[in-house]
Amino acid sequence: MPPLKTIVEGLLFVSDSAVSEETLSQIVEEGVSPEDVLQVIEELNEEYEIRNRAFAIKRVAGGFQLRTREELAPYCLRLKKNAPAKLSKAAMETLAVVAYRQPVLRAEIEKIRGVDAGGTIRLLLDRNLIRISSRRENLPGRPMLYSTTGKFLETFELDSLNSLPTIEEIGRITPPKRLKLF
Amino acid sequence: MNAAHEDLNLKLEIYEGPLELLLHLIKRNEVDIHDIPVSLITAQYLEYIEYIESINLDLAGDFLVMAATLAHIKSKMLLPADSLEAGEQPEDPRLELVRPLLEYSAFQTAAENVSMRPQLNRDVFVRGGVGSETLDLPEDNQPESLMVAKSSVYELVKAWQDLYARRTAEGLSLKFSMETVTIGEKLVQIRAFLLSVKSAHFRDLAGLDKNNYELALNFLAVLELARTGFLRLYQDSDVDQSGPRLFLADPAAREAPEKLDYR
Repeated sequence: MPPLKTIVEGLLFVSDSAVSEETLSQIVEEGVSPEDVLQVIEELNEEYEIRNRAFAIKRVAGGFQLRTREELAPYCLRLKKNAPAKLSKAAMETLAVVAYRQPVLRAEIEKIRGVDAGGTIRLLLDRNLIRISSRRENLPGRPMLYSTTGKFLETFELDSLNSLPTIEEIGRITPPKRLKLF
Repeated sequence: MNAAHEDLNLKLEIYEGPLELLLHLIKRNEVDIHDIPVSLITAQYLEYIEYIESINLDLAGDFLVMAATLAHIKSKMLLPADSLEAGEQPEDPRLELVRPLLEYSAFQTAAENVSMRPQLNRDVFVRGGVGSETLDLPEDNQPESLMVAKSSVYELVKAWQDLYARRTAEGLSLKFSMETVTIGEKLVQIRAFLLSVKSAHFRDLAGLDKNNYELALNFLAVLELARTGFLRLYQDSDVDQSGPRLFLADPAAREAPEKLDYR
């Protein structure tokens, strides 16, 4: 049997999406715990770092995925040619509201941002970053509720929604500037 | 010259909504959000609105609502508070403004934080392309190569809208016809079509209809066939393409295609 480190590396190389340490340990063999997997992933990342490899194993969407180092972005973009269009400030704000307040109504998004959100919601749905998760049954017209998708986590390299600082924390981190009296 | 240039840039800034504009003014004046100098901010706010109107840009009604709110708060601050119990502190009229501003400000920061994270396919990349999945289909009907994305009803609705929009763009035809096609006939037609081609793009169905009514019937027939398991719908991961793909699903269904009657 090849070393656990090699197997885990191979599985991560082959996998199309992020794989959890539980799944990895189940695939390998009995007697290998998720903790063992975490241990070798850490070792692999150290080796990649020391040897200046092109990639690292990142924790995203509840699992692990091999991803290139950020310094390589300009070269990778030249190869790929079709980078996704940058999301506008308005779209990012709508996305942030959905991420923190989900499941959320369009009206709630608009109340927080003070502007119509129809266009940005449609764009985010198109990009598969948010989805219609359900409907508010107790309101007239059963308005739709929006939530973020797994692709949202993958796109912004988030392990889970809990990886985001809470909105209350953010409110405190950025205190309003004090009034300069004179 | 440099200063004039800056001024121009500043003025060309377009604020999407009143809260964004107000926050900008508060930051620019370096004032405390909890102690907003209402007169100053209101004056600058109105100045911006006048400027936007002067260059003939449409102004969202929300901006005017906020202008009214500002004026209201300003007048409240000038007037003595209503009769209060002894020792009771009057509520600062600016609070109704501060709360939404603080909340919006927090979300602005949250959005910036998320934007700064390494973004997939922009800053970081994974091996190969998009995730693929094997299709849950009979073996003799597996496509040679197909990238399939997780999909939702939303995409199906979008595909329908695209189809309908294309149709409308090709020219609305007003036809009076005594022919009445039933959904049952459509079911048979689509079955026959799919049996011959095995898999088709949603858009290919456009060839099977004569008018919008039939297009709608087609759509319903596709949903019905998917429900009964005769065909399956998949979305190519390349979303911009031609909408969902229809696949023949159940070999048994091919044997007895005429069983259902929807008249």
